[in-house]
Amino acid sequence: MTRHGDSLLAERLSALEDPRDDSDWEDVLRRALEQPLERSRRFRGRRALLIAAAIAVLMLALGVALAATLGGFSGWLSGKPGSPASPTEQSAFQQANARSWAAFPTGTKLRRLIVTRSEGSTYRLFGFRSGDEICLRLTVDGADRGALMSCIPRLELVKAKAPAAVALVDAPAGKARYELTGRRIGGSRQRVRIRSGLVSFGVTADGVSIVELLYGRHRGRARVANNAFLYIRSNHPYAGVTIDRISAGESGNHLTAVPFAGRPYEPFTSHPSMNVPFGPSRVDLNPPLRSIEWIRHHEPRGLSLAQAHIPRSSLYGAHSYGINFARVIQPDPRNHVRVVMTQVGRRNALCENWIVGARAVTGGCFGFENGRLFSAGYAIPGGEESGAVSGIANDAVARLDIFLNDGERWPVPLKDNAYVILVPRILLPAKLVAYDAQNRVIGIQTLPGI
Amino acid sequence: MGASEQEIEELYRRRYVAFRNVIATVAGGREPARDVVQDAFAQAFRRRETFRGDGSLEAWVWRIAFRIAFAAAPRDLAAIESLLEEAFLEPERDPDLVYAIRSLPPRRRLVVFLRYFGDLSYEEIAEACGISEGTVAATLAKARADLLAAIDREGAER
Repeated sequence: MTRHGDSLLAERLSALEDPRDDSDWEDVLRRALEQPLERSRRFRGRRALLIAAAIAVLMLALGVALAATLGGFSGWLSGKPGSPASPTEQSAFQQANARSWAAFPTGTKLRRLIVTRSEGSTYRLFGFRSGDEICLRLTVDGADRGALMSCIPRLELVKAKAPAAVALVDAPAGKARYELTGRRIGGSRQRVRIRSGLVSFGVTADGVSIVELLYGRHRGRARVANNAFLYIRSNHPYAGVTIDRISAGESGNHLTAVPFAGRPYEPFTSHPSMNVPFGPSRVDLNPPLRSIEWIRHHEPRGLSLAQAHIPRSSLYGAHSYGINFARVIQPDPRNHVRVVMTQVGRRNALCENWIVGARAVTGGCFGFENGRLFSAGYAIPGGEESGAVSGIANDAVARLDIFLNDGERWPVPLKDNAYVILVPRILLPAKLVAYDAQNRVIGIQTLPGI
Repeated sequence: MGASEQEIEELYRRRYVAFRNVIATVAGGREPARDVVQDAFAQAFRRRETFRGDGSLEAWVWRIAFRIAFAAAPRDLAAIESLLEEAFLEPERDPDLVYAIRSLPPRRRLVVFLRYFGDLSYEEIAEACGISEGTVAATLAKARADLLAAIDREGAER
């Protein structure tokens, strides 16, 4: 790039600046001197809490009104949207499900929601309910051959404040293929185009007939049918031009914005938001140090790795330390996510692995000896809108609740010291709160926004 | 170490407009940005004794302003985008450039604002954002290439 180019850019950008000077040093001094620091913090905390509570009440009222207008998500919560999948489609799902390390129950039946064609490929969107999850599976035949799966927590739909819930945004359909395009300027200018289609899909409230998506200068309408929507960007979209607004509603009425997180985003990772206005802020009791007794005694709880068809070599710590003991726990038997608990190395360190996709494993090791009550992690396979909050808790923890940023409190399935719950990223940051058997708060951990 | 009252006041009087214009891009407009900048300088004034002097005073105040702005700003990128569109960048002034800026990824866009609206050096941007100078240089190079290509394309079409 030339110096001329840089100064041209500076000149053009400076024309966009707002030159008005409304500075007021006296106001700065008033703000600084009128409120001592600690009082100001407390006041702001209280004010933030009041504002957040007021917003939550308002949003709840708005959500109820909206749900009443559009009929809510009864199609997904109590009905069976769409039609049964064909035997071939059902069989293909069962085969893929059987190969998965995080399989759904064997009797899971697919419902066909939307079938459409785009640029020589056929896209089929299926859905099903499994325990506390509403899951969508997209299969693609043709040039973009492949399959995508994403689930939404049922609780998100129970008190939904928007007429749609997004499962996945801008995901490459099938195998992602890229190409460089555009003119080269000064040897450095080329853009990346995605040759596969980019898909976005989710579920809609009863009565919704329009879902509109905005990206860059473009506005598109999704296919909407059977309480679901599917949008395909198949004209070789540019990488970096992502969907930045989704709205939904009835034909002829004003469309309502649908919140979604999009790709994991944080302008500067050094400042993740940790502000959760809801839930307990202090513990009632610091419990004595505890471990997990059934693991110490190698009790055969849950499934073995062989029974769960999970290769030992895929687990965290397998190559570096060696695994002494491993069991696969399914905290909620109706949901598909598993937690593998292991003891590794000579010191028998306690490790965990979360299995959230067909083959997705992540994890880590930690000890309870320093007073930690539970571990907590968040896994988002493929940038899905909802991810699994998962971990293991020691024997002092009788139950866990998660307090979300909209004021909702969800119970977290906890079994054999392993827990997992699907949480939409738009509801983070959140607080994970541990209780003992006497219902006293014994641990609080904040999960930052992603 | 610490900073003196005079140093903070001098910085405020000299750099207020730059602070407000950059913060407007994350706070959602001129008025909320003004509030953030006033609060940031008030906080800097109160905590002036804690300034360690291992970087510039300006970068320290930028970091305070970012913390306040990001805590107050909508976390939803779509919301930030809509605020940018409606409240700060006026497309009629330079439609092609505004569109090109809006097409930049958020982090790249903020670094551009810090460089050109805030007039910060690479070192100051790195300090303010908690990233390396190399990352600043690479981010700016990519952003400049994108923006210049947009300007160039517009010239070719005329």
